[in-house]
Amino acid sequence: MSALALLAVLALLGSRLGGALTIPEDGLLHRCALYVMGGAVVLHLLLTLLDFAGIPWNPFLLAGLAILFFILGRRFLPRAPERTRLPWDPGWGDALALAALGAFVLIGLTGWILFPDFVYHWGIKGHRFFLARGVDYAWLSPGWNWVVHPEYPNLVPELFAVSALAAGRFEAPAMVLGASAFCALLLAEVREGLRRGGADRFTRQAGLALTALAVLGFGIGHSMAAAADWWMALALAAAVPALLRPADRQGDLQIGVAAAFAAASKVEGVTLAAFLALVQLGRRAWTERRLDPGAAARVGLPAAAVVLPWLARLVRHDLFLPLHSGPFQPDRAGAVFAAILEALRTPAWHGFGFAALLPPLLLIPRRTRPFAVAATLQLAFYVYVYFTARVEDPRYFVLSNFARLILHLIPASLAMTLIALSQKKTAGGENPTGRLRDPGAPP
Amino acid sequence: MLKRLALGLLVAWAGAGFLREVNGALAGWDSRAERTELPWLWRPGMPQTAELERCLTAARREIPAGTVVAFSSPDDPPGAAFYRWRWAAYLMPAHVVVQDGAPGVQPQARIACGPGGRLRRERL
Repeated sequence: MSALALLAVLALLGSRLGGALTIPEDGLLHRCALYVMGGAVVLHLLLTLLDFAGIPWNPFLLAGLAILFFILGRRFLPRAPERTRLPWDPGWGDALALAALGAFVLIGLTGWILFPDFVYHWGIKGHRFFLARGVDYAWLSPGWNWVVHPEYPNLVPELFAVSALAAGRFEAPAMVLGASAFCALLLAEVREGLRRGGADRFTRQAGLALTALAVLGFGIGHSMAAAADWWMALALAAAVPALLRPADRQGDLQIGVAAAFAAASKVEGVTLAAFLALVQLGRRAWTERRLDPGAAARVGLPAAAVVLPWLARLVRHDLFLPLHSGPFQPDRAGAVFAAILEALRTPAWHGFGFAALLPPLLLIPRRTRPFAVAATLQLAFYVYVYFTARVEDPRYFVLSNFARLILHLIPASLAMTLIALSQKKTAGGENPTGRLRDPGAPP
Repeated sequence: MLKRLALGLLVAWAGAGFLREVNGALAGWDSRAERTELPWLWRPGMPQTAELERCLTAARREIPAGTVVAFSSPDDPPGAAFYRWRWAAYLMPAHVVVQDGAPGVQPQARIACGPGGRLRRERL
């Protein structure tokens, strides 16, 4: 229960940012996801601050600081705007998605589909941080411990550790449950993206069911319970509503929070953060013919607040792994692309792995272009790494992670493709501000 | 109409794939007691991990937390020792578990797990 309670606390913390973060058109599910992500970033910054100050993480201290932030936020930060009330309108796609999520969680709780890297590094890091009451740099930094990826950002093990602190003990099923909540938020964001994209009811329901069944089926078959990759997929999917409408203040901050969340979650999240920020600022510069410093701050500051302390820690504790970087080796092309094709055909994807190739196609419709630029750059980055990583066998390297990495792109890409395909029907639905009218909204 | 049909078929395909994965996972879970996988395919609930956990429960009891423990296991087949070491580290989070023979590390205890989850311990 502590894992779910932590999620509720994160949502409460993040809700204090609601005034600056949301617009009335943002639905309840989107708000929940944004608030949890915002709360997670706030918690991460708080824990980083405590680490820098050398103060051990104490559950009572953390609870006190959370309450203080909540009260100060309530006093000084603007309240979230009333959201446009929409009919609840659940459908068969929601039922299928919930059933798939339920099956994934139940099987995950047995431990049978526990993500192997939970054992090798994410889980043990969370457990160590829980025992050490902080990020245990003395344990992370020795060379023999390279296997735990000491250079990775720490949000995921931090959430495991804080959840364990609240419970008083570290238990893998609790971590699986907490991590599964991020899968639920991912599906919520796919639903919201389809709604905000103006897809008709059947497409919304079918799109949600399709995404849930495809990605959770992969999650079961590829042992992805408690995998950090769900965090990445959530970050990209959460950026969809803001990328679908013309750039605005709240959209800037939504992108900023999604970017910070990605950057705090995984090392490849740092590039995703950069691409999301680049796209949002690029859109602003293109339409306004200038770069608004306020927008740059809203988009870039949350991610910068995450990335700079992380870099400082890497340098201070010498945590960079040399094996990641090397010269670009074009002679690997044959092996790399053959292995990518093999990975796309991973049985657990049942053919949906090829949806990772959709972002370049989404560059064609104007509406999906901002998303497509960020997702295509991220895909290109993954491929680029295969040409530069210092590994003996590039084929093995690709096969060891590409099927999993494309999970970051597939849920949002599927939603965006369905939006692009429904575009013709809804093209007349845009209001003068460029925001789409919700098909279910009252006139 | 064609779009709806195509989308419906995709959902049906995804549903069939999902059920296949669920079935595979449940069948694997049901047969976990008979599974004899190599260490890189170990999962919680398998006899191998249960045996290791039994062995390391004894080690956790006997060796004070924070001790640098060298974990040794036969590297058969090649690479297996590495994965057994990772599982041992995961199961002994309060200890600093290093792979036996890791360069530049001075362990304070050396452990290995024998057949039946029997702990073999050497104080250094």
